[in-house]
Amino acid sequence: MCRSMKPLILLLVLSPLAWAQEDEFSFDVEEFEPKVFEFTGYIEGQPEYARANQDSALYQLQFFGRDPEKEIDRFTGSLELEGHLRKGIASINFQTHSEMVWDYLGDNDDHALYQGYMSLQPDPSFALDLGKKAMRWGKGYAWNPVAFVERAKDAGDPDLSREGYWIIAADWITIFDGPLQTQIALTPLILPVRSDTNQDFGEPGYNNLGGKVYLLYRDIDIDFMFLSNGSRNNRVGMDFSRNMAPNFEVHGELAYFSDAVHRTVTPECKPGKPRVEDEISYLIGTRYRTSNDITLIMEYYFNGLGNEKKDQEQFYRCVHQAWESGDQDLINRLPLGKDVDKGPFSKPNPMRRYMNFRVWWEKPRNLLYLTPGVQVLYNLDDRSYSVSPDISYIGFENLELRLRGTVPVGDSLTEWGEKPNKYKVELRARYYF
Amino acid sequence: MALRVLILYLILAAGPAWGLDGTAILAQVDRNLAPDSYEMYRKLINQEPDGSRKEFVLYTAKKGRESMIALFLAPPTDLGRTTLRLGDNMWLYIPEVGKPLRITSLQSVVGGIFNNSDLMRLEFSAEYDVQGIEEQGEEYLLDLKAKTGAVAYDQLKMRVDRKLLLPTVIEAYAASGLLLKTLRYKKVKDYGNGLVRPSVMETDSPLYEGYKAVMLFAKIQPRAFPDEVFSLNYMPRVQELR
Repeated sequence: MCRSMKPLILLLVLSPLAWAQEDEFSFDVEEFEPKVFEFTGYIEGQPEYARANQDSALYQLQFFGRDPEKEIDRFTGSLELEGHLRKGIASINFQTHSEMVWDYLGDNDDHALYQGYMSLQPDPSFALDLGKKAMRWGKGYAWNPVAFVERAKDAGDPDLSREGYWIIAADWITIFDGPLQTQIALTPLILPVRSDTNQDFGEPGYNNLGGKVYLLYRDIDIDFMFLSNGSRNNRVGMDFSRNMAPNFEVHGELAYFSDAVHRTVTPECKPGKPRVEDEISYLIGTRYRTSNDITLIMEYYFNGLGNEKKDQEQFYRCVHQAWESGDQDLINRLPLGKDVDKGPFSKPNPMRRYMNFRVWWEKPRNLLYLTPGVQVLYNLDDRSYSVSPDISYIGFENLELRLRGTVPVGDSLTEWGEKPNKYKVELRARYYF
Repeated sequence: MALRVLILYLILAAGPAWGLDGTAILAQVDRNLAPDSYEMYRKLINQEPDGSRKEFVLYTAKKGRESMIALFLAPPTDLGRTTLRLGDNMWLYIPEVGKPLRITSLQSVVGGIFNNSDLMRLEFSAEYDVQGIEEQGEEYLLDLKAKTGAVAYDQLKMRVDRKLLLPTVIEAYAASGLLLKTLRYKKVKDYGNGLVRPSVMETDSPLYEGYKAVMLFAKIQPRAFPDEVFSLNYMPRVQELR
């Protein structure tokens, strides 16, 4: 072969490879042009297995008058849909949540409009929202004592979406030039409570006035918030968050509640005289990230609205007494609330002093998309706790996987000692579209 | 724009006689990469050793040397996530969580080799001081040192094309001297409005053998934004900017 032909042949052989290399990555940006209507969501399957703790108060509440179960299998299927319709300065936004549960109770389904509101935004500095909207106040990860206008979050799974309330809210942002880099945002709102609107918020017949002021001042996030007396008692609060170093953040919340009502249970297992006192709640926490991508969160929470240890123990004693005697009337007398999971003594974390410790390791040993972690919730009043190791994987397209176990640890008459399970294992597969 | 580059090039070409001003070169590199205030679209591709990929698309708005906000448009798992940067402060808004949380430049909201610093870089000259400059053939080699500890990479070694005054290769080092990643700028493209710059940035890291991360740039155009856009309360509404 002629020597001079070699480069030409080499070029001809390599040029398709070179072309392929050139076009290896492409980006059709027109595909991402804004659309008038956007529709997204996810579908989720969550099988779980739990070993029942038949000696516990919460098991006995759940299985009172039912056939006992040593093992509890449950499958929960969820569908969450989200849509946004935008035209000019107006947008209509919705988020629905549907859930089907298969377990020892049979099949149950629940459908809720989590959010559905119209937003008017004539200017980037001003917006008006009208409808059902989820407000999120506070800087804490597991708990938010200043979350005055939202449904309680699950400290063990705080990132789950939650249903909002019907509100009218405005948002006004202003920036002050200068070395102090001050931003101020005002968020006043009205939350009406009627017999058919926001009825689970509190006493009906009030248009509750609340609001939040946010400031970014000298690299510190600061919020002040209030909710006026009405369906709930008067409350004011503040929170802050600041990065003390690039990998070290501190945050805190403080709330003051006037005339907070504490429910009690008498030694005869009857509702006692409620104790009414002004209370404070606060939370202080840190978030630290190591150089090898391990993140640690530690929080201390004082819940002024929580139950005293003696009151909580009395409640547990009464449940055990009812279970042993089979006395349905005794159960009926206890302050359980309409939903046992939200009752003053049976809801999660009903007491006063808690610690949250959460650690997770992103990309352990350079394995991208894998994140093992563990969370410990500790009740400092009764020294019971739960340990929840988990591992999540986000390497598949549009799919998130999480495997989690939970082991509650505690003596009798303690919060986690009275949980319905000895341990629980759950797998969550969530596909986004 | 081309004239300005030419004049600066002619001035800098006489480097040995006049002495090289690394700070001026770095400032011009910033200006050549993007206008002072602009919007753009980016695609991020994380490629694994087996060839499988994960892709993200972001809409980004930037103003001045302090402010940047980025909205995830894809994939569906990340849709609506928004990151905001104001100086050294950085927040992440996740629609499900419903409120912004503080994050750091060291984290990675996309889970791959790119960290938040790569996604939310404002301007090199805002974050780094020029410690040294050398002429090496057709390139300058800039030795950059982070101005504060809040910057993800303590040192950068930036190779700059002498004609175009655009980066070609950047090596990012930790304070310990460990090479963390190498960024390669490729495929210079005319984006209009006098902006001619690389359209592709490829990244690899000795810490993640066989993995590669690529950033593709599109629709970079000057745009003025009000300051209120770069605020925590605006994060859930960034979509309205597009």
